[in-house]
Amino acid sequence: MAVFIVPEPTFEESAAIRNFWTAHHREFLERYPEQFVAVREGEVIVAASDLDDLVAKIRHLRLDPRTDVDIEFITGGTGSLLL
Amino acid sequence: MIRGFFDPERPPHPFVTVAVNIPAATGEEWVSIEFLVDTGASHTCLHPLDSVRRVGISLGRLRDASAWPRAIVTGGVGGAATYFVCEATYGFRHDDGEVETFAGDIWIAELSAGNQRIPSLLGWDLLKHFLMDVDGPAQELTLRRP
Repeated sequence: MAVFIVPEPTFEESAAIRNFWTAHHREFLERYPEQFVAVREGEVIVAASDLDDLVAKIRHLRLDPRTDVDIEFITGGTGSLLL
Repeated sequence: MIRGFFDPERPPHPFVTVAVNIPAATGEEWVSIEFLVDTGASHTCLHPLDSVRRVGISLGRLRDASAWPRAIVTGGVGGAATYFVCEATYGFRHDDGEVETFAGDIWIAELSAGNQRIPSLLGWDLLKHFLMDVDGPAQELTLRRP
């Protein structure tokens, strides 16, 4: 069934977010290797090696981890996964 | 046709962006999730990073099995893991902009030290609806309806 759906973020916004992380990957990898990083309006506001710590830091700034920032894990690994 | 992508910073995995509605977590709202396409996964799974940054589930709730109507323990190469099973509807956007929906379940991972960095997985419960073309050298993924 085809329907009209607008997710949050939209498909276009999701691609733009991905492109942002890809464009800044090398820079962030030098500054925040193997860490979770939260970005707001294009600027890193907090980073932590653990998701718990990161969310606590975001909330300490009175921000919401879903609506006020975007989060990515920055790794220099080759993407090795066995799922 | 639904186009996926290969993230150059997460080689060599193919991903596809899917709209998801999880009434128990998102109410009537839809969220978009970038799923790793995993033909080895029996069910579609949401892992903690996406639960937090896209769905808005608190870490406390991800630790609390009593906060969910149903939990299962399943096995994988990483060992046993607990997932909370919720009704979900998935929306796949075709090239022409139309979104095709499928009703089913989503398995939401209990938070653990080992799964914070794992991408969410698009499993066989949804992949069974599609013809899938994966072009490794060209780094292209497409899903089509038969």
